[in-house]
Amino acid sequence: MATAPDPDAALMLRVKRGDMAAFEALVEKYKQPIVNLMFRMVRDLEEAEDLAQIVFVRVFQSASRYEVSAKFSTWLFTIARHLCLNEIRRRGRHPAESLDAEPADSEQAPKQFEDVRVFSPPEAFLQGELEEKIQEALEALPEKQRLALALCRQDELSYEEIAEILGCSVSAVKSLIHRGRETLKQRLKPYLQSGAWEPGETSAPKRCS
Amino acid sequence: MQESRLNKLKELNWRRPLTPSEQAELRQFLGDRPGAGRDWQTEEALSRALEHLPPAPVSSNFTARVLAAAQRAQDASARQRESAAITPWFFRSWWMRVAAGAAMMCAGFFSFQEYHAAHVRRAFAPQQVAGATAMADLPPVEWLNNFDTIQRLDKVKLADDELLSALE
Repeated sequence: MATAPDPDAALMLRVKRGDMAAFEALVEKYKQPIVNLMFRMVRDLEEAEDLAQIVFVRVFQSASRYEVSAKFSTWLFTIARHLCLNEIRRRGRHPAESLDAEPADSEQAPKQFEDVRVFSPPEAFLQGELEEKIQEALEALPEKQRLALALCRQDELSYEEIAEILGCSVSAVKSLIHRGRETLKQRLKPYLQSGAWEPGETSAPKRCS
Repeated sequence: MQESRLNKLKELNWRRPLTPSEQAELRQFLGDRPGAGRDWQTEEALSRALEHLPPAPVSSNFTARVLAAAQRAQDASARQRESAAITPWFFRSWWMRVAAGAAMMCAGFFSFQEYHAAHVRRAFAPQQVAGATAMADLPPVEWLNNFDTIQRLDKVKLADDELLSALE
């Protein structure tokens, strides 16, 4: 069975020819998943955006060498994975430093976040606390399990593609997700069993700085 | 239902809510094994919790910032290419620069060695001359007054052999 051509790969080939509009379309499409992934990994909105920006700039710089050998999203998430793991390791070595300290940032426009919180105060408090607990439990997971869980929520990625991004087998990916979820279940047991988590309106995470 | 099928449903539930037919299949399995129901509830609650984690807010000017950063990166690489075009070929790669640096250091080292050796030779020359003169000391001038006489003594016959034989 012939596979359908990847529309993102077609856009990337246009970027390769210097088409900035195609690059803008790719950024628009993938900015939310990439910022989400970075935020789940580093848990700091500003850093997540900085890292996402670096991912897209890397994509742009690599456009001239781009060959359609895999799905564009797999390639993009592989770059994102490398960058965020490097960043986490760098943070481990130099915990006091931040990307904000880089002089290149000074010439950039300030970030503009929308305030999308729509809760009434008591609901917001409960929801916020639960989200905080889940975020904390996620943060305590080993980085590979956290990454596998975050990628697992991406609709456009199959288990095979997640395996390619993480550089391991499909069964290893499933094992990482299973172990991560088991740890989360242990840590969040009181919340999960009490039924305190009721899906409803969502709130935006609080800015870390 | 086989355990493997339950695992398959679990893996599906990690990524998306189950379809009505999958849910019916699951209910049937859980009906046969009451103990498994509680585990599944926790599993389901975790999936729901993760699913409803809010997305990270993206700043409204994110795309514009990315495009500006990409433009800057492009300009920087164009400048780099231009500077590469005017740089001599042997300085374009890092190992060439390292080799050139090493060659310059070697040349500097040997020049210094040469200079140092010449300096040492110059410093020791007077001492060598003084040593040579000290070894070959000339006799006092008074000795040279009778030089000719002494020179002639060599030619005078020291013993008169004829007279000696007559006396005998």
